[in-house]
Amino acid sequence: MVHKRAEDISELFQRELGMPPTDDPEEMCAAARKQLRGEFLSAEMGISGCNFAIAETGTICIITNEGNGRMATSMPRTYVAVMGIEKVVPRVEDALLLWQAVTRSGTGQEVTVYFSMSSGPRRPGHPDGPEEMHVVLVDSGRSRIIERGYADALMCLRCGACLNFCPVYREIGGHSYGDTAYSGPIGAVVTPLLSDDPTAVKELPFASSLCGICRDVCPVKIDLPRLLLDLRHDLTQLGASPRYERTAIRAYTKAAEKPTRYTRIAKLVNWLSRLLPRSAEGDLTRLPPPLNAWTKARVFPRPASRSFRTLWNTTARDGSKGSHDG
Amino acid sequence: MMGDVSTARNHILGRLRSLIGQREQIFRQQATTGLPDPPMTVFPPPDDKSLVESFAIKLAELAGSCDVVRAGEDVAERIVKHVGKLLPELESEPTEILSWAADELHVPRLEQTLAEANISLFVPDNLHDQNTRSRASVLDVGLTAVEAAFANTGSIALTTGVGRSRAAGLLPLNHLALVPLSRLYPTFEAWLWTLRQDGRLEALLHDSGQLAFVTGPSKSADIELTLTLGVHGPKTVHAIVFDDSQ
Repeated sequence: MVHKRAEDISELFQRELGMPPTDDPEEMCAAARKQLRGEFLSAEMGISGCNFAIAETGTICIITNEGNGRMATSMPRTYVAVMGIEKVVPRVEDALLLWQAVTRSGTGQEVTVYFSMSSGPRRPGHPDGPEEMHVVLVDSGRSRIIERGYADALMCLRCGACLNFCPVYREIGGHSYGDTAYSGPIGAVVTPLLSDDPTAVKELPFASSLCGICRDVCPVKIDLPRLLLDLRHDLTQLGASPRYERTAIRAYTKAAEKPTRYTRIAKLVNWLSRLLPRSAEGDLTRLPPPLNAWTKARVFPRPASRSFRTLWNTTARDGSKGSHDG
Repeated sequence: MMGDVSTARNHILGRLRSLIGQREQIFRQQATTGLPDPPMTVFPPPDDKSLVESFAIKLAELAGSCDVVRAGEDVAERIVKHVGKLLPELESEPTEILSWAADELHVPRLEQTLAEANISLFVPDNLHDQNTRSRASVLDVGLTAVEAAFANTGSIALTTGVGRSRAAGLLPLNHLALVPLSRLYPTFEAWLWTLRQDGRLEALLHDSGQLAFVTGPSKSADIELTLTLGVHGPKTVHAIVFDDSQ
């Protein structure tokens, strides 16, 4: 619901619940409470995810602010928890520590309103709680992440801090870059790793500018830029990069091998660029394919009149006259 | 795909074992693979204030409220007063509140005082029974004690047990929690440490089926980031802290 406007939600409630139009979130919330309360009290089965599973006591922990987690784990006769195999922590203390870490990084609260620790079905004589409790452990590619050497990505607590701080995702929102279950920088790491064909989602690891703020804000210090770089490397090894890119890199390698060759080619390119159409400011407005992908949407800055090497040589000559004032 | 459960389990575990055997290092950063022992405290314990004061301030910050009953004062009277505030019609009509069993609440002369004020306790024995469930779900006040309370976060811990329903602290719009002073701890970690020392931690989790930490009223900011209270759980959480030393 977070990504919908109040009017859209009100419209939905008018249509589905017969509620009068309103823009007051509190009224809509009360309507949702009333509606869902009936569902919670009559449902035969409650299904939840799992934030932490405690090994020493066999406990499933889930965190919520609304109370839906406590409802689903307490009211229906059957409770099913679905968890990724990476959610296991050794001790109760670890779960409580990570709970506070994930909350702090996720919403800025010190702790969430509810932290429910279920250690089995209701005991004899208890007035409520599920009569059956089942836990579904899901591997679904997670052990393959370890196999590929990216186990660090499995430490993720799903707090969303990397998503919220990422200069790219902060601007474009969590639903960009396709319908992947995990968005943001961590999503760019785990989506190709969980995929049967990592080259099918090959763009994701390349979308980051590698500024590193995701690593700085991560409460469990996952080195996301490092993982992204390694993934780029792996994907390139798998031949996921486009052919023009491989050709271009090969050509550049050849050109940069010898300084004289490099200078000569740079001069040639600079001279050729004068033949291309330009804007009033002198920027290039149309490049030949495949570089036209750039100029279709924006101009390409005009080449400097003097090359870096020319400038360098000039500065080196004048350097002795004391121009090193920065 | 739905094979035998134990086959799937053996498959997953076998795979993990072989991976761990193959690799010298599973994680790149060894520092992040283990948590400190003894565990660290994320939020520091309250320093200059008393535990009660810190707990009250914290709970108030989180849209909850707290009432402190001094030694010698009547706890049951305070409960009546608070229920009266929540339910103005109380004076004229007899009222039922959803509650834990009286002997789980540790308040002297509770039922007697409540009866004089026209309040009776509904203590459900089986909420899977349809009639019990219907009766419980229309009540506006839930009364519980706590397993423990924590001063640095304003949280309480609720257990389930015979005479201690989850429903009482979950279904009604208003939750009234009784906090004996002896159960107020500075932090979660201090409480866990005590349970470990006494060897009670595992039994507590096992016997209660569910242990829940509750920190203030149910809340959401899902609709345009506007804070709303009482989404699925209680809209008000009021703690009455009382001296139980005698």
